Amino acid sequence: MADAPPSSARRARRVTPAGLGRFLARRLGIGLVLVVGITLVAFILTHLVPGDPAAANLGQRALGDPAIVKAFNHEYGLDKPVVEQYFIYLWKLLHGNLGVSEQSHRAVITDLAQYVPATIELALFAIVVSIVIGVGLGVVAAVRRGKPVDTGLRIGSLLGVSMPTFWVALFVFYLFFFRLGWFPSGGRLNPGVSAPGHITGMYTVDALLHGQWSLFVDALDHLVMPGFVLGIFTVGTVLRFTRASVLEVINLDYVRAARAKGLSEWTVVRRHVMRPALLPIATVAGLAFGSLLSGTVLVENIYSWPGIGEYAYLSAVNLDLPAIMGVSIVVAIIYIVINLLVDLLYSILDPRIELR
Amino acid sequence: MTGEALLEVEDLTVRLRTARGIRRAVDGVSFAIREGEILGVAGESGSGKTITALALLGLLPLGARTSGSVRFAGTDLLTLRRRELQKVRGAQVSLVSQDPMTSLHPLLRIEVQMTEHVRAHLGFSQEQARERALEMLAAVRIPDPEQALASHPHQFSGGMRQRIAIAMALACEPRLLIADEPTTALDVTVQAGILALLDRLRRERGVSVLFITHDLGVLSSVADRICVLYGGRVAEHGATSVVLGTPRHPYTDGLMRALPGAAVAGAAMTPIAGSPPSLDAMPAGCAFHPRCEWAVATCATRVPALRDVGDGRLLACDVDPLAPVPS
Repeated sequence: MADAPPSSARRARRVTPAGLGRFLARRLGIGLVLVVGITLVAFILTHLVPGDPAAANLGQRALGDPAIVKAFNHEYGLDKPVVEQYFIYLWKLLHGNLGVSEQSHRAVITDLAQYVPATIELALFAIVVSIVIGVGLGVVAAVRRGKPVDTGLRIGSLLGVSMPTFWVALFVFYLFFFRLGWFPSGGRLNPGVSAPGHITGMYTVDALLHGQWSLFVDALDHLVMPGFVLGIFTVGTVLRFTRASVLEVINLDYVRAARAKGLSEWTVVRRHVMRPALLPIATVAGLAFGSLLSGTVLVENIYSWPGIGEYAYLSAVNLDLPAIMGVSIVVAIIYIVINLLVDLLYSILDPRIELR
Repeated sequence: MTGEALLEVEDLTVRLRTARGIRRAVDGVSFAIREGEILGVAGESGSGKTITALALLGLLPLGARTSGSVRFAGTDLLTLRRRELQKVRGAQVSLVSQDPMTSLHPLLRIEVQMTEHVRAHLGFSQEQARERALEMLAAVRIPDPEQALASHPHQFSGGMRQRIAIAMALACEPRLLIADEPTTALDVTVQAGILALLDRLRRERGVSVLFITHDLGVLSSVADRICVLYGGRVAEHGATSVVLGTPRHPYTDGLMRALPGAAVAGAAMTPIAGSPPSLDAMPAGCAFHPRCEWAVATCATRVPALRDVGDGRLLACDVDPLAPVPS
């Protein structure tokens, strides 16, 4: 801090690099404990489910042969006591080994490396869609409160919240692929097109990084329909929260003071209303991201999107224990990171909030 | 204190939409402010003071209807379109609100709040606007203005915040400052500082001030003239020395006697019985009659007209019990 600018801005800015470091260290520590806790819960839950991994994975004839079943159980460590199995799992996890999937026969970590970026790409697209549309329309509804626009948007958002995702997904699929043919039916790229070189695993981003414009368009084309369907799921929620949040701020003293200063209505809303109104919206968006992730199971299934939702579904159906555990850990980490980002966003938006 | 009327409010009436229908919050109020003058508008809460202030700037809540005229430097503000009104707000006529804890934006640095309207109204660059802001902060006696610009409101005390709010309101050098209970939320010692500040700014910069308060004691030290409101109407209006020296409206008299200290020498402090009427239950006739010790039968039916009673005072009381007895 010796070379900090002489300006008095230093005292005003509460977030010092040292403070930020302490905050991150603390939160990452808590996150680690949470992840271990999640493995325990996931482990117990999968063992409570009545079912036999061998029965789910082996064919009829192999299942008839006790030697094969025994070999299967031995290979995946299923013949050991449950507690021992758990500690073996943790020990391997510590070394970055998530085990081998019982269906794909590949290391779970390899599977995840392939599927997670696809889902992140889809979910990020969806959350951007729902925040842009939801916040935008929510502000319009609040500013035009009581007018027909507002009423229309409120009814619309209610419909959006109450329409089941699977129905929307199928309807959109029917209309925009089957009827209109505007978008491809599913997958991440057209058949025969090879993926861009792996950097982030998100095809649109990688294509851009490699400067492959037509590949980017192809990937985006595939992303639009599932992304919108997944996003629509949360647009209604974000819209309603934004409207309420803006209405709460728009009549406050300091907003009236901004109007009294002769600022244009647009400046008043953009600068004086939106920032405080965004605080609760940041929380809602964080939660919405969580529900988006669970929405991916359905959307990925319908649009053949090879992501973690589809992977989680198949692993659960097949009692693929290592895969289920892997998915749980990844989802837990995503949640923790999103929460961390929301808290950081809070301290950026509101200087009165100290990071602790 | 002499000169042309800067602001002439005539027959201002404001109808508000309440849960129970449309109600008159301000009813035919007229007053004028000259260049460099401080006009005190006094009354209890619900008397229509704040609504009057907001009506002048077109800042009333949704659904409010205004009639009458508000002529500021020759233009009727009530007829202006929103964009034209925006050019007046903050530039020609500024507002300082009651509570400095809520009137400054909590998330924006003082620099942003002190420069945004200066840039919008005067076309200044950020650098020029910053210079102006530093100058204004120094004028309201904020120690270390540089530091203040980089800070957020929560880093200041209430008195400091109100000084900043006043500096902000004066940054475009407006001709009229509407101060809505600017000292109510502050400690008595801090109050005195703010009052002295307003008085100095008026003398040094020739700013006219519309000073709204419920506290006649505060007005006695700063206001040139006083307009007492009750139930959305003018009760008594005249020079400060006249109105406070020899109040003639029972309500003004009641307010005086309710003051702590020796505003009326020797008299004990006595509150006015009852409470101010709500918009939904405005009494017929003189709005004050249910609380008035002097009320006669006609007070309940006839609305007293505001009339000139000769000593430079306008009075709306038909009984006029405190009139000097001709000797």
